[in-house]
Amino acid sequence: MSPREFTDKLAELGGGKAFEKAFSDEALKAAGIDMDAPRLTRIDAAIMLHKYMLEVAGIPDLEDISGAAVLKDLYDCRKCVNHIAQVYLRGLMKPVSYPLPDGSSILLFDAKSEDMSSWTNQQICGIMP
Amino acid sequence: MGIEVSTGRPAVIRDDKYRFDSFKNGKVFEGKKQGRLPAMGWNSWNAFGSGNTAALTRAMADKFVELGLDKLGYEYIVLDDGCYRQERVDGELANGEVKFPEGFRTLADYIHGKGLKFGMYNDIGTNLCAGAAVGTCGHELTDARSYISWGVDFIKVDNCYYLWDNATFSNAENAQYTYAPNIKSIEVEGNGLAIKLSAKCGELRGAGAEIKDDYVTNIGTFDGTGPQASPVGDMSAELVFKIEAPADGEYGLQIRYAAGKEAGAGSWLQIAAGPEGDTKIFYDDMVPAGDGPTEFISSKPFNISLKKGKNIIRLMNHRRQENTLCSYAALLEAFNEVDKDHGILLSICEWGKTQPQNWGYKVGDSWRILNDITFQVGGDGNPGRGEWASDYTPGVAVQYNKAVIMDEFAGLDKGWNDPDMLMIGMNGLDMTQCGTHFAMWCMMNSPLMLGLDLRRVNKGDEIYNIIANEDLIALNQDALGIQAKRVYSTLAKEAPDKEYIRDNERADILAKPLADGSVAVSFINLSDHEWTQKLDVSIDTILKFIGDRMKDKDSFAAAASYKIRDLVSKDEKVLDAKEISVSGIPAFGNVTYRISPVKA
Repeated sequence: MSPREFTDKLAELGGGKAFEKAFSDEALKAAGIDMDAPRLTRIDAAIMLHKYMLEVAGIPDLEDISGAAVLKDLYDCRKCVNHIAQVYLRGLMKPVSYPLPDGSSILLFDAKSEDMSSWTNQQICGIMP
Repeated sequence: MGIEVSTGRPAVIRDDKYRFDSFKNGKVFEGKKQGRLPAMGWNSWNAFGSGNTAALTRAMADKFVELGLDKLGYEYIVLDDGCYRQERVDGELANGEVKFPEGFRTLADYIHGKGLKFGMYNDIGTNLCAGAAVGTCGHELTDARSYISWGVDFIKVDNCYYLWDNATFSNAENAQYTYAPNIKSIEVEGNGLAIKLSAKCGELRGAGAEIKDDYVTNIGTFDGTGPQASPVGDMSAELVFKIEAPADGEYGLQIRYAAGKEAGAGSWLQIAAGPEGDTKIFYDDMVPAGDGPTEFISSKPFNISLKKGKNIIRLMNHRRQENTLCSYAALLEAFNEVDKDHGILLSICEWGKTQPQNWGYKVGDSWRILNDITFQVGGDGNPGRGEWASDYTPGVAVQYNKAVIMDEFAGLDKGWNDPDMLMIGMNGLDMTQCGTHFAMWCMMNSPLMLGLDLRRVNKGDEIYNIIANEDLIALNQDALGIQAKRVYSTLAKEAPDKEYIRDNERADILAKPLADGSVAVSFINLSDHEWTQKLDVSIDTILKFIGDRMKDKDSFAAAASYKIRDLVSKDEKVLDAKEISVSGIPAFGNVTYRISPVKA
């Protein structure tokens, strides 16, 4: 899935003028999304989902994001922290479990990998007011 | 000839002034202004994130003046990330068409027209943190021309997408530039000498490196972005071998190494050799890659010169600090080239990653000490959110805990530690916390960059009364220019001014010498409950810690009494004793006094 296809999916949820404004090419570009990229990365998905929640659905941010610190790479991308935390804590995107040599594992957000569509429209609908 | 920075490879360093060995010489680079007090102003980031616009900025400038902040010392209006077009236009920076349609010169003129100063933002990498591909790397001169033509007075320069470090958004494998390879042994030959030394025969100097099995790893500068490590002391390591040379001359040095591309095991090696205290650099580049950080191979012989008698061979990689310094220096030098009399204030924002407290003074006016104080920035209609403490860098106390022991790095001749912008007025912090936040930043000579939507402030309201407290601002802007020192902490074991304490279940006492011979003393309760025990500090203790930096230590010591002014309540009293005490500080609260000697 590409960022543009993902935007189209989100458009199916509706949102009218608010959506058009929040998801214009200019607005997405300003948010750091390369709309011509062939593949959607997980951080692209997180940014767009968060944008949808805030600017289209009017869902305010969760105030306490400390729970997202279980993602060991949460702070690797300093400008993405809140996007990742909000979509993770809302259950919109699942973490990636990364196995360690000792048999244990850690949770990562893995921002740069391609999104494996760990979200669904139903999940987004589920958090709508 | 200045430093040349490009996207092709790390800078070639031809002048030792950019090297680690010059960090402690106290010399600043041409164009770096000394004698400046901490910057005061407003920055768009905490208030609006990358959603700032020209209209919002104009509104902030209007409100800035309406509130009289300019009369209190605040002067800069700074556009943070999100103001440029996403790509360069004909190789030059350009204003975002939707958010800043009028262009930056027009906006600067508007701000200057109000008697204020105009600041902007960029990055030493290829892209800005919010993504725009307009970083200064390789464009320093072009960008300096733009900024000067726009009338910029202040530039905050970030560190995302940096090519030579594993910075935010950068390739993690860039760690290859910031650490030396793992080293197992060396061989030195020449002039009748033939010696092989295992890494275990070497001496680990500095901090961070360690012997693992039979090799040394972690030769480099450790990352200061997070709050884990103390900022005081050595930040990097070297593997040093002592060699007795039979004669002056050339020697061959062969190194058995394993190169990698990860933190702790990199591929960039610096070799210095010569008598202790007078070593010269003989190699400063990548080494050929092998099969990974545990597969050891032998290098080609490196030529080094030794003097007859005792020498040392230093194997190291200080490039994490040197590269970053070079990148900031390239921008400063570009400004110098465009206008040698420019007075642009350079705010270094590499988040403490490369320990800028060691080198930032050479090029910059302040340097961030950690990653961001909040990741929950606001927007138009959303105040954003700050917090008192966290396990990472967000939080007033987190930033304070590091900055409070960094006074040795700050000063009028250097610049200022920057624990990030103020969060006063954001959600998540009550007014007691905001008041203590402000008092801390004033005591620590931190830049005072407001980070809220000023339209939410009115003269006389709670937020205004905090940010407009002239008595506290006077501490921050005191002409003596000395950051407060922590003279006592309930959790300090031996040295309250040096110990890195992250447990907030404590109270601290700070003391700061002032130009008129008085001393500011702040009692700070970092905990989430009232501090019921009495906290006291003697005049002797204050003198012991800051006496050498006071204007008139003897008069202060000999005073028969002291006038004590509470800088928040404005109450005044006379102290006839040699001990100052406070009790019952509320949770997250502070009591800050100005203590002036009364002549006998």
